[in-house]
Amino acid sequence: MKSRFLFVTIVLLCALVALNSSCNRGTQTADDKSKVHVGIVFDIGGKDDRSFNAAAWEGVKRAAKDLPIVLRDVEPGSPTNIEPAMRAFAERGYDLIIGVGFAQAPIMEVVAKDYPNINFAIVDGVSQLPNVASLVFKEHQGSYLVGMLAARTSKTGTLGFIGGMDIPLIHRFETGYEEGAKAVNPQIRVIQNFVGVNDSAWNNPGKGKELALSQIGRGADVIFTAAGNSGLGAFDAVEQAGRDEQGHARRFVIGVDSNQNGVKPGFVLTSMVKRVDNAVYNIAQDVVNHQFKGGFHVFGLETDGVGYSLDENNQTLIPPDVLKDVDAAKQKIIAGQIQVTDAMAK
Amino acid sequence: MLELREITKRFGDVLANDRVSVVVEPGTIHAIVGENGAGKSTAMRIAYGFYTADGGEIVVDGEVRKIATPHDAIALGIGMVHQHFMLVDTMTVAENIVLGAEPGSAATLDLQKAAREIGALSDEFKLSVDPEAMVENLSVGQQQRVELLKALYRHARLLILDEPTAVLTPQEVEEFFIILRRMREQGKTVVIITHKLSEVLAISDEVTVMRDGRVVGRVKTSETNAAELARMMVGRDVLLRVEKPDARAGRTVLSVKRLTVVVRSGGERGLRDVSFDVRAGEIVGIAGVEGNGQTELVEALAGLVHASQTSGAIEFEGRDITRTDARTRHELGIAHIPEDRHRRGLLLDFDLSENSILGVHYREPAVSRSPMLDTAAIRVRALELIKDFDVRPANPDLPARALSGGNQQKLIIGREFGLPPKLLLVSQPTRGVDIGAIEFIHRKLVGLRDEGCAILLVSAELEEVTALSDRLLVIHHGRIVAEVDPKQTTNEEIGLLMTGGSKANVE
Amino acid sequence: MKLLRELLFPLVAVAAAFVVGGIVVLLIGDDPIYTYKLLIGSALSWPDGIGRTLFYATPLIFTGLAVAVAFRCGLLNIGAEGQLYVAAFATAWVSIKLGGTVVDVFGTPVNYSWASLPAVLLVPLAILTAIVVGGAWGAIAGYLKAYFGAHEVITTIMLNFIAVALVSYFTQYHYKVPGDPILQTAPIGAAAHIPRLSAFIPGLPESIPLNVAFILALLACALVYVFLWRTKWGYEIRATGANPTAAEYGGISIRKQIVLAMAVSGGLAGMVGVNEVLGYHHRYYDSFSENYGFTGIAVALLGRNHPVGIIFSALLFGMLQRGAIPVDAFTEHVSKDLVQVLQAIVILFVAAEAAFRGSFGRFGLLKRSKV
Repeated sequence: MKSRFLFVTIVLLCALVALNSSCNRGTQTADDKSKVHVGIVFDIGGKDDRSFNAAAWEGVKRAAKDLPIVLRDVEPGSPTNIEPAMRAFAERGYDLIIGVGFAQAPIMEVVAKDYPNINFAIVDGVSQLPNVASLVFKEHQGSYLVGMLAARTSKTGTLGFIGGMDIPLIHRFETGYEEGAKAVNPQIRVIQNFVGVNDSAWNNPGKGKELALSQIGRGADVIFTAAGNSGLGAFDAVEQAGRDEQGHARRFVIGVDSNQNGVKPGFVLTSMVKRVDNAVYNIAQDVVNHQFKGGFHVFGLETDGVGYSLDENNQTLIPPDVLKDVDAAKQKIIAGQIQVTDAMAK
Repeated sequence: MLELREITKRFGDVLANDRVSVVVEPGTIHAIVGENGAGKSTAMRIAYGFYTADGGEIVVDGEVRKIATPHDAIALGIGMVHQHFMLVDTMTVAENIVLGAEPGSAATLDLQKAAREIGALSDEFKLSVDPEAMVENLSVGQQQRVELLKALYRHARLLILDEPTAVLTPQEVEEFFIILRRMREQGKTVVIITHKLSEVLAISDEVTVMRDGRVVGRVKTSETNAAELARMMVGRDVLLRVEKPDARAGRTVLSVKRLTVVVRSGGERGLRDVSFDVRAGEIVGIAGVEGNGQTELVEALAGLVHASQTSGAIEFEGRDITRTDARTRHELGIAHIPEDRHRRGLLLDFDLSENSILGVHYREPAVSRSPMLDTAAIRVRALELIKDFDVRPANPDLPARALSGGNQQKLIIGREFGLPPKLLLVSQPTRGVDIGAIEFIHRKLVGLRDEGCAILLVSAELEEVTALSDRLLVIHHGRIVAEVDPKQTTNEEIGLLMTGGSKANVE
Repeated sequence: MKLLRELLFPLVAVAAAFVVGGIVVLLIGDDPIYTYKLLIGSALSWPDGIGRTLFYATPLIFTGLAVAVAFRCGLLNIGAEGQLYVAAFATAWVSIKLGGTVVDVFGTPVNYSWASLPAVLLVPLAILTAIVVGGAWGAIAGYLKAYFGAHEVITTIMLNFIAVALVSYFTQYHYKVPGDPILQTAPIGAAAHIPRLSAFIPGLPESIPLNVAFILALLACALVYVFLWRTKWGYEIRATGANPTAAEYGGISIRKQIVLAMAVSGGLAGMVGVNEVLGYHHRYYDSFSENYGFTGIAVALLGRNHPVGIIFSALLFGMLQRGAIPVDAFTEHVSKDLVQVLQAIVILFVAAEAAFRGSFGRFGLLKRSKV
């Protein structure tokens, strides 16, 4: 008796599904063959990390709006899904496949070799293949500027740095930051911590917060994060430190990659923006215009590929004279008068 | 009062009830007898709404009724006491009884009122049950009376009792029958499911006999006898008495010296300081109420109790085996037919072939040298066993679960006989076994004895243990309290010894 | 007839999962037919789909077998994940140490090895290492259960954490190529690489990582069958699982069986390392396992803890894994987690079977109507 009931239920459900799907079929986005097909594979953090991945997502979305592009994306969630994701696009003959994050570089190397006629772009990674564009940034330059801002803001003379994964790329942020700070105040102390050693280091806000709290405990009053999603934990930590009598934040955080000033307004001194959005937008545009070129695409201060963010959320936090000094330093870096150490060039 | 008309029930390929008709007159005690698998319980469970019949109708008080659930049955005044009690150990009697029939409004539970009512009911039927007592502290007989009260509390006029005496001592059975007669006097109707003919004759007014899912006879108890009932149940003449020549006991095979077994959960049920011998060619019986150390004794002898839990010595053929494991003892020639064949004796989901090698699976004939099982040889041997011990259905590929209790038991006996044993430890050999199979098993045991095997027999069936044993030891609270000659002693005397009375009182 | 009954429930479970999954897809606003076409189409396309489906099925066959062997002994091995990690690391270690000079991620030839064994020695040695180390890791839980009564579910979960942390530590601080941003060891010697099946199957491109480990997985199924049902050891393991008290009565040491079953289970799980290290990454790659150890539990459940069933259920789960990414990429709203929904529903239905059996199964009824 019960099995009959089950059977009837299943038949009904099947009917429902069939009915609904037949009505739905029209709504499926038509696959326009004339358009350029772009697939993007995010990093473990996912496109909602409000930071690195979010910047890339911003860029491709803008490209999809402005240009004749069919855009598809995958958030792999675990490193094992990255290769299948790239291949899913490649097998369907996509025109451009963008990988977000250095970890995808060796995988893209393999996939791009199998599909020499497809254009690939890797953010933060390097490949020698002719059909791969390596989109790299001079993070040390931008970090130098926010290091100056941090040192000028700090009252305790102690700064914090929280890196995601303990790798050379992140050390590039750290050395630039420290050099900028030391340029302002040679006595300043920078405490540095890393969230972890594997991919989950980008996606562990709990640990990020824990590290930030411990740095605050040791006196740090401005903390620069370069840790993807994990960095958001530091935002919580400075908010927890609260405001003083005048309503000013006691501790500040410096965001990374995207403009994170609005994440916790008043607590975010600035963000070391890395214009991943512009980089991916440009590469998509190149593909649309048949101007794709492999090799290095470097984004530094001179092209506004990196920099610090200033908006209504942090205007009051940074005095004009500080801004003037920082801008002067920026010009000197562009002109080559200040050489910021690139930790990856060693 | 209750009438089943042409009830048919099918479980898969098995026709459990084939047009079963039973008429129970009001105010009588009606026995339903039959072998295991005859369909007695199925028919009564249909009457209680536990199963739904595929065909036929149920008539209660002259009206055709639909009984789909036990609730319907209770509403019509039908109560049932199952073979396995359905009581919560950690609750009081009153709480158990009201469980599922809580008095008062939905929100409030008036336990005091319930306890008063239960006390009154208990007095009315002289059940002497304390409503406030914890169930876990009650004896088995008392628990059964709680089950009776449960049915009475729900205003049952007809009580169905499924194998009610299986768990009782002879004394408790007597008391129980007094209660049943009293209930009949008070106008209740009782249906008792059993396969023990002596009880049928002792208590019932009328008997319905079932065989293979059919009703094969309905007789007034006063107009029948055990032999006739047995013939109806089995379908042929059955030898009810064990016939055996006198034992010719030989050398001592097993010698138990001051054996004590500690049970981890308190010493109450352990074995204390037990000494005895078993010689070749004799059956030594252990009589006792269940749970008085028999299990510990047999398991300790079979090597299933860890050496750290025992003290004393066990000698087999002059060799001290106290510290050897079960496998070694088996290899020496000690076979064991366990009391609980589902727990110990069989792998229910394994087929008969696989069950036939349990214990010898690692050596010849199951395997020789290589680690591979010789499945072909095992099958041939299993077929032989099935033939020799009349295991039905005779299909070595069936899972043991598919066999009736009697056939499962025959399989185990065949396996252990094949060792071949020098000492056989056999516990409850005919529990849940049909009359026909009982006869078979008894003959096999006597035959093994006559071949010179030493047998230690433990049974809760007093009749069985007295009929088979050449010497009888009575066990009480983990001690051997007496050794008697079964031919010289009455069952009443042994029963008294089993419950702690002394021999002096008997004489 | 018996086979049909065995098959019925898994099939119903899978069908029901797809129906419920379809409703979920509908609710998030996509077309279930299109989604399933995408899922199954990309999993069964030749050669990429089939090749990768089989590749994903390979570790699941191993872990499914691992869980099944333990289960037949009445143990729930949740630790296949940890067992396969330590085994993968160990097999990589052996293949690095005895594999000769390799080219590292920066294109520089490096030599971390003590010796350079030829493939004919190195491959069997590496495979043996995976089995032994995985088996040893499994046996720890077995030993703790047998001699201290520690429940294997708890200990295997704990050992998973320990395993993952341990191999991550060794990778990061001892066996990583300096400067490599990715948490992975140096590459293993070329002699330890096992061939891809593309070398034997025409039409299968070399890029498909399906390798000899798949053949080993099928072989393992046959071996596990023979082991469990045709040897005395398997008999003892199954007897222990079916009824420990009866096994004890039959002179079987339950403790030994528990340790043995967990060791065999761990060894099978360890074979995943062969597929991933010797056949695919050619190095130990941190967190390479897409929860293979845990999915193995579902595979074994659906496959009724029988090697043949496990092959089929591993193929199904492999298909789902292969189809997940295309579904994520080429539908509007459905994400790859749909696959997890499907897996979860399958497990739910299979787990619910016990309840169904109770009232409908023939044996279930026989058991209750003990007349």
